[in-house]
Amino acid sequence: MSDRPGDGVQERIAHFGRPKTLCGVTSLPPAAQPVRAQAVVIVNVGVIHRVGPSRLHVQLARRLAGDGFVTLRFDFSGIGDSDPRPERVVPDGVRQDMNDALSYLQTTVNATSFVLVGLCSGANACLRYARLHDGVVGAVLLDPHSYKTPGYYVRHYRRRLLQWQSWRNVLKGWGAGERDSRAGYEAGPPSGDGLVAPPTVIPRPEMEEAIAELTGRGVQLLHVFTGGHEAYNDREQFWELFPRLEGRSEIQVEFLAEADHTFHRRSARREVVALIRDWMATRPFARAAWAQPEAAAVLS
Amino acid sequence: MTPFFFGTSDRRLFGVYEPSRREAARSGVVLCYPSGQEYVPAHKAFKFLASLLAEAGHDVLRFDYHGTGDSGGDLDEGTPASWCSDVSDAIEELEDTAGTDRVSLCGLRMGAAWAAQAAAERSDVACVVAWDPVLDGRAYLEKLEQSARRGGDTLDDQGFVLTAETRAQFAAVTPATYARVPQPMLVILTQGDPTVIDPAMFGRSGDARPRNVEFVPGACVWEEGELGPGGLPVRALHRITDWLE
Repeated sequence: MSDRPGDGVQERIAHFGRPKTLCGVTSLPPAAQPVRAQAVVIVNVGVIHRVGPSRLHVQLARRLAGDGFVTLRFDFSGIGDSDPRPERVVPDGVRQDMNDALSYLQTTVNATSFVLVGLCSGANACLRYARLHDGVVGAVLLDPHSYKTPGYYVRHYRRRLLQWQSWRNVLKGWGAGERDSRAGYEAGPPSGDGLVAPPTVIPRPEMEEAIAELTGRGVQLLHVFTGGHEAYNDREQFWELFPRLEGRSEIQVEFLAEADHTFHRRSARREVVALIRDWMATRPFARAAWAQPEAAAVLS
Repeated sequence: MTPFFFGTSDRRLFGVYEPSRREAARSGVVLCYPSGQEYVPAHKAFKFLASLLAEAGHDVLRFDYHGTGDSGGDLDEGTPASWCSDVSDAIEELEDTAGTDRVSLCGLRMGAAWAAQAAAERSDVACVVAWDPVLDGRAYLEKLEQSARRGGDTLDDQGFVLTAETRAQFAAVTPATYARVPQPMLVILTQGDPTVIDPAMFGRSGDARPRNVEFVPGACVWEEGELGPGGLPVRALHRITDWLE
């Protein structure tokens, strides 16, 4: 499938914020396509600008727009083409940037319901921000922070036992040299809202509380983990980590064993884009329960 | 800074125009990104360089080749020949936007090769900066092939598709690519061993087309590991700005 402009998706520069320091690109559905009620916001992966690793975000935005979802991908302050905020040190810069992005979509395309998409630290930022804005009705969390479970270790060592490389390392006295990823497993939530920068780690209790709160609000969550995640190795690991949440219909968990963490391979990008499109098309998103914007000029 | 789209409806290019911050602009400068996976890490340095040049009085346009960055098209649609054509489109766009009839080109890695090829074909290019240019296209390609996954007659360099045509055009890049540039040229090197570089490979130095070959060590901006804070070759970028003045 192609994403040529001839497919009808239109793209517009998004220059917004107060003052206009934030930069992004809005992908709009083809004129003949009914516009869906939810607008999508795709955030940065670390310091990679809004195109995403191997252009994943461009591809995803164009596909979602082709399906009828207005999609904005933008750079946080100080990343890509967005300037740092004039006041430089901002206590909750990511939160303000996200507020500005959602306000921009409100005023330009009348959007009132939002689905956030983030990879890695971007996914962590989406999870935290979703709690702060009642307009968020869904989130796609790609390789968010996770914790190893006893099941993880069983699977991990069972696979290693079957690999000649592991035995060779043992015979040569080379250790695995793995990093302890359990810091934060039982930690309490951070002080403040924790959105100074996209977080690389979220304490497990905070994650559980966030997911419980969001699903209680009817927010749809798609968790996608890849074979490249350093602390995750099976689809069921999510439920090992959060048994209390098992059975909640708002949560969908997928494990793409063949995909790498930043979806560098074309096949991995195609797989994850197809998965997200399918999820977006079939999920029963709730209506956002927050005030409608006063005025809106449709972006054209 | 003004981001915008330009080009034709079936070949839409994304550019960022940085107007001169001085009253009277000196000239226009088109910045040419490197290709493939080198594009993303280099983005920050290009933004910084564009800002330096605008501060020095230049009108600057940096742009994404078709099928890359925010431009239209998909990763498998571009070829080196089409990216050279995009450089020409960007030159014309900057001339229209800034109201100038001559521009300078600055390209990094393969971007330097596309800039050199465009300069050799046009009469409205004032000078060229080749920043860490790819000098041995075959060696460049071999490195890509080591990390690429083979699929039919194409190679997938972490998502950037290397067709047989693209590989042949990459492999054809040699020092002669730069020696053909008829305009004055600065070759600025931030990596490697400068003693193995023979300045004569970039063409005859003289009044007709003076050549400056300079080694200014600094961060390698096109590799992912250098993406963190402070990963900019500040001295080299200032040297480019000074030379263009």
